[in-house]
Amino acid sequence: MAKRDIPEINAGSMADIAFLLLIFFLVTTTMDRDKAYIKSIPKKIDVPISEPVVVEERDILAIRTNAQNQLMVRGELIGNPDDISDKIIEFYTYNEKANDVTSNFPLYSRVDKATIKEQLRAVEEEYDDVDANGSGPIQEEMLEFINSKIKEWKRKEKAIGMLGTNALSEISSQAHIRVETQKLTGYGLFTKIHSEIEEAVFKLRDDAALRLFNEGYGSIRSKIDNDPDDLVYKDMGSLLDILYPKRVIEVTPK
Amino acid sequence: MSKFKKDNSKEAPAVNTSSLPDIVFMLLFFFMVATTSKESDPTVSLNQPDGVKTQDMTPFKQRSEIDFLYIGTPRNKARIDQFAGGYALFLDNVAQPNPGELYNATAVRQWKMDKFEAKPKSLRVGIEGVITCVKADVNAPVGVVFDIRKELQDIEALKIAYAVQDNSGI
Repeated sequence: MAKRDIPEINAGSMADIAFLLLIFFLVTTTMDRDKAYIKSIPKKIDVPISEPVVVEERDILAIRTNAQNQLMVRGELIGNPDDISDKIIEFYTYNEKANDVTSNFPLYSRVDKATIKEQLRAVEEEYDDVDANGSGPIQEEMLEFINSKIKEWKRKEKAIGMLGTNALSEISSQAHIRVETQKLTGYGLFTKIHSEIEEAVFKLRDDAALRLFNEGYGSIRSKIDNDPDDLVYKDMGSLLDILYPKRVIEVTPK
Repeated sequence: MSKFKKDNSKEAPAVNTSSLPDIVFMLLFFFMVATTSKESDPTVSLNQPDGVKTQDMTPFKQRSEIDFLYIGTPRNKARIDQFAGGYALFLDNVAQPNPGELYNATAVRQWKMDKFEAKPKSLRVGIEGVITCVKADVNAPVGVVFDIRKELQDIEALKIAYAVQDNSGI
């Protein structure tokens, strides 16, 4: 049989098809990325708290706003919301080098290597004790609680190893930022406060990161996000987390 | 007598368009890579506040581990009076919002549960793993956000995100 030429397929309408797809994607997608501050909501507890926990005034950085969008930081009226971050940095760093008991800022405690080792051994013994005493829902909860303590001390042990110093100075465990709003406060001011908190904590951690590791906090963060299994950067992040913890309480307006 | 004789009888040759699809495909791929798909168009309009040092929500969007809700003024001006303060809630992917209940913070609970159930079982991550992202207008009252927080707390969806406009990273 004679060989026949296969007729060429007309590709003239290929461009039309591609255009159609292109226009579909142009319409259904957006260029701008969604940016947000992720916060966790505290878990609901059914057991009523009989006695409110007393927190020293020096450990609280209260940022208050009212329905007229006026701002108050630690009892002081603030006109420009951009000043909040300076206040937060002052709150963190005032007693960092040396404790001034007369000041109204959170105190720092210094733990050395030996204390951490001792504490770690103590909680591990506690764990074994509870573990040996039978099992039940209460025991399991206890074990979980002790486990979290063990993790905490292990993190500190690692942190002190990375710092290369003898003692780890830590801000008071109760020091926190409290955001108090009213129902009619604008969302813009509310997010501005969060923006200022993030900015202040970023700056503190960035300075420490440059000093300790010669690398910016932003680049450390993005490396952790890109490769969560990279232990070196993960430890760096956790050390900076211990040095400048971000503890924010959002008070539900009444 | 000229050397270059004008030949008017011959028409200009057609431009070869066989590489046009290639060009268009290239554009297509660029847009496919550089953009993310839109959620439903909200029926409320809003002007987002600015912020810095934010977190990018794109990875969560790609894994569909994020739900969006909007607080803004209704685009349908006739409806403005129906809502206290003139601000309405719009829940993502709710096709026919019933103004009576769906623009209410208590509807958030049902909406979250519905979205969770709608996902195929193999893709579910647990309701606590799905972020709820609030996009609100600059002047929207914060009280609504806290009402939503309370609803989320009840169903243990404990991750919330406050959306802002962040132009510092670009």
